[in-house]
Amino acid sequence: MANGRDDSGQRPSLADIDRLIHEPARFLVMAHLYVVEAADFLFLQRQTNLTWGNLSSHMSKLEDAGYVHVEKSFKGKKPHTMLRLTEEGRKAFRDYRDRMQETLSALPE
Amino acid sequence: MSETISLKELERKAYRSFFKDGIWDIYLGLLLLAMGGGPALLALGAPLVWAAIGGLAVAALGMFIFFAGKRCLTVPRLGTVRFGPARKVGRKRAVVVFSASVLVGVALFALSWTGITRITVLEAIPLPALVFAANCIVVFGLAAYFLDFSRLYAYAVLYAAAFPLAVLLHGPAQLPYGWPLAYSIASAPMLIIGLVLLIRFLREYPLGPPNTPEPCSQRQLRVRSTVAPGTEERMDG
Repeated sequence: MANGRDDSGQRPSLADIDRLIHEPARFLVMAHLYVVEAADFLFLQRQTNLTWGNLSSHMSKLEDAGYVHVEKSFKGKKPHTMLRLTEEGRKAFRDYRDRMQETLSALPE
Repeated sequence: MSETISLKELERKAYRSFFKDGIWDIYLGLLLLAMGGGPALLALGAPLVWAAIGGLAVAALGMFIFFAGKRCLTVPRLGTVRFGPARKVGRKRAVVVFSASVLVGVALFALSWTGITRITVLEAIPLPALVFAANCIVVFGLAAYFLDFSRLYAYAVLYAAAFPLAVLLHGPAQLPYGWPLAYSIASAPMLIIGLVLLIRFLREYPLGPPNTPEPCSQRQLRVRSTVAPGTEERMDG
């Protein structure tokens, strides 16, 4: 991604943008997980204002893509789920940020 | 660069949400009140041992409120989060600063046997009171910076003012309850702010429905995500 070019030396196009992250709610979830080490479901729900169903739906998509790792444990007798970005997820988010920055900075005034 | 800045703000907002519950404020207020608790009991005629136990009891109550409040009020409402390495370093530095301040307190107490307490500044305030005040300003100021907790700057001033104020009220003003009065005056703003914040926090973040499901398995997540909106209500109804 040096100078906004990919491995083949071509400028990335808008079509190359990671659509999984591009969706606003998933972007919000990814951004929150990017700035912390790990967070539970409730924390993300509070910070993003997403409903439980909405958040779990986006989370399962991110988990399927390998961007989010789900840690399950028990706090006493209650199940507790911690979520964190995988290395792949962090890289994908950084790439997305760089690509969007590159794309938008190239826009004429 | 704007993306970097807003990500920083996002993290800061998430981090600071844990100070919105007012529990830190109540804890610090009770801790300061505990310092005046012992002298208050002494002024009421209690023996030294009971005065010390009384002060420690108020401090223990503060600790209990802090840990129980965080566990029973904050975490069930805000959730759990592990912040990044920079925050962990900040927290460790704050712990080091607070530990160092305890050492300064112990040193001051030890020095009081040497007669240093008789040295006064402006013929009214003993030197240890000023050292204590300076220690509070430095310790709370550094902790506020490391913890990114801006209200601590104001509390540094209140902590620093308490001891010299107590000396002035007890000494030149000749008030019999000068010590507890000074510590009550200094701790009241913290306790009031803490209680107001706690009430606002409880209103802003009510406990969710007790049967809010937690995603237990990948399959459960998928099944829930494919349920059409409104279907669950119809099934319940």
